[in-house]
Amino acid sequence: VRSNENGDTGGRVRQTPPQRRELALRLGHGTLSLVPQVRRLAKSFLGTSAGSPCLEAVALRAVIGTIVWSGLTLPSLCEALSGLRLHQLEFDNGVLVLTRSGFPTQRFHLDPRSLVLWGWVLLLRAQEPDWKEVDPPVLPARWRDPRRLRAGVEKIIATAGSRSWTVFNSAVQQLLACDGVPPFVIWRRSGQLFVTPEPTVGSSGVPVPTVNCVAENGRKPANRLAIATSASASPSWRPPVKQILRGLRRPGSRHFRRRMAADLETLFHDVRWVQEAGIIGQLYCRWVIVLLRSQLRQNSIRAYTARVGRILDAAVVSDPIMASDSPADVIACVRRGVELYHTHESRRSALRALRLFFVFAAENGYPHNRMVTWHRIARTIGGAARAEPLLSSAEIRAAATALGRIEPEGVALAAAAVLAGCGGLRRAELCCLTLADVQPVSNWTIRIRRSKTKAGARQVPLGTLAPSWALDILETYHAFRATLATTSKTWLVMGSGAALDPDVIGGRIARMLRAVTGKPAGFHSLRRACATWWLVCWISIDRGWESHPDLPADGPFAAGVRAVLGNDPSIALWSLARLLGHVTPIVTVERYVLALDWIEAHVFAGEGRITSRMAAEMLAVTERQARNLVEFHKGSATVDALLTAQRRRLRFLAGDDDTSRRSRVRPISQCTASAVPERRSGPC
Amino acid sequence: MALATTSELIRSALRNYRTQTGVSGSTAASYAARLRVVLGEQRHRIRPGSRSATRRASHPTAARVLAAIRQREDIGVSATRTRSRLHLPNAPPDAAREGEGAIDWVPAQFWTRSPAHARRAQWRKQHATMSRLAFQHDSRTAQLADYASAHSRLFSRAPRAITGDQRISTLIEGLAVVYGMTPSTLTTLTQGSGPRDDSDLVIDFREGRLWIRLPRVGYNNDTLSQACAEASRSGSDWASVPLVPYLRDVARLLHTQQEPAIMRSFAEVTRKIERRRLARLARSLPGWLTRCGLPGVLASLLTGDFDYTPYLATSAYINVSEQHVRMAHVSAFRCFEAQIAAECRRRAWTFASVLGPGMAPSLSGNRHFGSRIVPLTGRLQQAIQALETRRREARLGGSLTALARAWNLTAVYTWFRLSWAAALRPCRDPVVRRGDVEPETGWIFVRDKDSPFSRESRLVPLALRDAQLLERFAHDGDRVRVRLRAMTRTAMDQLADDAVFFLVVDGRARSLSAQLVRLVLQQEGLGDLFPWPLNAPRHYWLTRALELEMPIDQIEPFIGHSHEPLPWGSLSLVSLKRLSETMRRLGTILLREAGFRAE
Repeated sequence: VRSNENGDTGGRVRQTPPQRRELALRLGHGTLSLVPQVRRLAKSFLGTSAGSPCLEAVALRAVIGTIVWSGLTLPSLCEALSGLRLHQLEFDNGVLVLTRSGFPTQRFHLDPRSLVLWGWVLLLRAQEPDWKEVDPPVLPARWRDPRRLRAGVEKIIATAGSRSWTVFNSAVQQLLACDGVPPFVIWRRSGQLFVTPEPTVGSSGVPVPTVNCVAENGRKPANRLAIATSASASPSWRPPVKQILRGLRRPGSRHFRRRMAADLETLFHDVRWVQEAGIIGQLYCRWVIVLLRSQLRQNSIRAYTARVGRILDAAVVSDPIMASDSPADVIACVRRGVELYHTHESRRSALRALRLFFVFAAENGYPHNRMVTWHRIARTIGGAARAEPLLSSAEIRAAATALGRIEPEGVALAAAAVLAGCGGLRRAELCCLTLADVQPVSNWTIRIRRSKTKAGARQVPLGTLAPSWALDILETYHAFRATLATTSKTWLVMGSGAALDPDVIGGRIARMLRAVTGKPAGFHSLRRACATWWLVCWISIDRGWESHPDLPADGPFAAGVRAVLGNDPSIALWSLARLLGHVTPIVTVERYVLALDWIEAHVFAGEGRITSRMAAEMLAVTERQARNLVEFHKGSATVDALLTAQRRRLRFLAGDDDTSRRSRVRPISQCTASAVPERRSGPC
Repeated sequence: MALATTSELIRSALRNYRTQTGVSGSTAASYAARLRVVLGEQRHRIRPGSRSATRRASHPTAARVLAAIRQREDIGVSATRTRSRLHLPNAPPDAAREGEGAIDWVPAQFWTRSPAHARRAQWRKQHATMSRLAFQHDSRTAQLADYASAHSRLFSRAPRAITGDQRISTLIEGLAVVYGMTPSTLTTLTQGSGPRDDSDLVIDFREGRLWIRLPRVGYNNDTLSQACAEASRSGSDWASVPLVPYLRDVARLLHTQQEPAIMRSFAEVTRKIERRRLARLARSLPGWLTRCGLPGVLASLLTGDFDYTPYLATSAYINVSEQHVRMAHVSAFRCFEAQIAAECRRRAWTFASVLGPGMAPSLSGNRHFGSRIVPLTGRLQQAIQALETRRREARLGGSLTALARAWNLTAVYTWFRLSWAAALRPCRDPVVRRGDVEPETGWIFVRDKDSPFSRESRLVPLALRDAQLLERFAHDGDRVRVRLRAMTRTAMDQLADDAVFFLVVDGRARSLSAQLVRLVLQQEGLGDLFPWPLNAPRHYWLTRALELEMPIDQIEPFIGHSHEPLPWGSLSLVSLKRLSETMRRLGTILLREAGFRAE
């Protein structure tokens, strides 16, 4: 008997095997035919309905609209949305900031059609008494329980033929794919990729801090645990160690680090220090000695010792823990230690350092390393996402020009900034370039042979990619280099002929970047900016979008970027990753694409028209008043026009918009009972 | 006979034991080793930390994948050789025959449940994929300066000005930098005036022509009927291409001078050439030519080596002419040569074109090669017209026999039309199910390759008209089912509820299959008009796509010849809506060409 794919044969359920390849789309069979129904369901939300829907019903529409139009199919969506606060819905920017337990905070640009539904929710919520609270919840009280919210959504999607949440998500993904949304975006919105958020930009163009992202300009939100670990709270054995390790902040040779290790060893001759340090202090000190004598880079040693040192200062890992046999205690202690840090990246780094420390402890008779499920902790590490500053091309140019004016090695520093900002080179890579690696004759093709990883070996056709001002700086340096009387084969040298040190370059260029841009940028920000602008250039040409506002003529040579990255959109990200020397494109998109809001805003730019009656509902005013707020054409208005009106009205209700205050439309609380649209009460 | 040593005693005892019990040799050897430890001179020492003797050898495919990556590696600049550990099993034979490698066929072990291992495995896989993509800026790709150097050195002198071994060396290196033949391929080159059984790559010095054996041509001669051969384009499993003028002149000079034992000199010269540099140039050439507009399948074909290439499947489907291949190559190579000339100018190196002043297309020797089951358009139109004429409305009120015959013919016609509209596989793509059609925007969901490991699915675009026709057909099928269930004794037990295509044969409703389609055609007297195997539409599609100069790379994934990274893969920026336009356009053209009426 031929078995049915979905059914069973002889009582045995046949499991559908997983996809052979890693696909962005959840290609579940039998869900493609649901796509028209899902599309119709979502469309009905913007159509005129009989009577005014209540706030609860509108909220459900907003949630479903967010799934269908904005493609948010990530796990625990209901949990995240049920606890949504006002600050997380950046209505003016059209961005939803989602926080889920165990995952880093992520920003998602919303489709205008779903955003207009959220605007409707906000306008209705603005009439409720609890709206006056600081940072109130967005959803009405009924949907603040994730289970109830999910049940409510499932009830509605069942009318569109979706038997389960999974089937619905699958249909939504296929709908988006059929509508031309790039699979990469679908994949990210299904919660498979965590991208570094770009800073929120305020109306004045200046980055403003968000609650869940570490703010720029060095300001961080309060972290109670972190405050408890100030220097005064350090155990008494720590200050001598800190004093010795202070030297790690300065660039030093291997000999210098060995001397530090010898200094640390002298501490063990001090009986009082040994008593105060206990097991944990001695282990830490011995571990640091091993690190100082290892081949690791100074920056890595400094990061490892600082991370673990901070955890020890907070007394999270202590002697009783090292004496404990309980895996639960050890795991809890590791988790506590990691949670001392605020951002996802810092937590991962702390976990890595702590693991190295535990491995060292295991070699010295404290086998706690095996008690800890490191991978499980890493998976549920959570934390806020760190916003990285995005340098514009003009800023990179300004910084390079300013560097060029510094004597005597300014030209070399400017060339380094150009190689990083226009060629995407790491600082260690550009310090290892030899004269043979840089070929001005061959269109400035830079051959990178020594890199951070093996995958870093590559060839960057800088002449094709870089703008003319950048090539001018390189030409200037090359001419300067030719005049130097040195036997060194290194390309990037100072006036004396000595090779530049990566740490020195990093520090000096970072200082200049901060001075010129006013952003908390580091040397690596140049590489990130370079990757971002390459992708923005490529995608603008591929999709025919208007150019990014921060990408004027100073930016990369667009046609060159297109030629180098290729015409095939299936492999553009792979090509970009190869050009940056990454092993996998995942790293590229997670850490180097800082203009995702801009890309997604173009991808999710759904259009639609809304009738005057529905527009009035969505503005929570009468139809007559709506005509004053929105421009209608043949009885309907565009979604964008309605969004603008909603934003104006929300500002008016918040009482901070003088222009709205002067408008004739009264706030809804002042309308007469007959003017206010009648809201249906009772169950939805 | 007295046994002198313990070893002899053990050996003797085990020989007897083996004779009595019949245990295998390996078991006896294992026992012997253990007994030597226990009864021997006690000189064996068991060290727990030592490497186990029973440790599994590395998987052969792992070595093959690694070798493929290494082959593409430039030893000077990359050294991943000690770190690459790709333990991938073989692809199933069906997929392997279509050119899919182990990397394309990632089994369950790559989808490990441990997230840490999954991430590591994913990174390895992506590293291997990136390695295979061989980007222009990859450290293993030869750059324009390398080609400029080679061109300046090889082709700056007239063929008559070079002599002796230099002439042979120019020809060999010329084949590498003009056609992308690697040194390992060139070592298999033999001399002849046409195809030879003992070789895959033959050079005809007199004619100045290369003969390249294709790895597979759809079906072999034995399984194809005479009727099919008459109704199809002529095909061959030997591709041929005339050499570019410069190399042709060199080859003719070698031929006219009757140099003794040219091929022996060939082998000697090949040994003397610096293989690594030449391999780098040859390996990178298909990528450069593809970027200059040569279809990937033709670029791979000209290298004479189809191992580990994503174009193997497509190469088995196409039927092209010698002239077509030559002109496509010359057009792309001229574009590439312009870049090389610019590089030579920048470096003040001499440059001479290998293509000559003008290569006018000549119609002589325009033989077709490749697939043998690409239907002749006239015969195809005749067959489709006959099928459309015979088609009639299935009346629910009539007799069961009449209903069954009319319905069967409608089902076969609709299925044929779908095959020609979307180039579905007749056997490996299972029958279309009810929930797998999106009639509003024209998509169909195809469940592909019923493999033991996993399943590969894909979305295939359909012209809107055909999607709606399919939807209508599904509704008609529902009505026929109701009629069969309610008013006849037709057995429905072998028919899945959600199968769209079904036939009624011998009082039993069955899902449509290739055999049943043949049966229905025979019953209707149309069997002779359709002599082609049922996957002929796929061959026709790819062949015509090449001839119409459609971007074949955009069509291949929808056909099912997909390789990492996929257009719908997680790191793709493709708009499927835009990508599908080519497929829909081609589908519409081919349906019209095949003679299907607009419904």
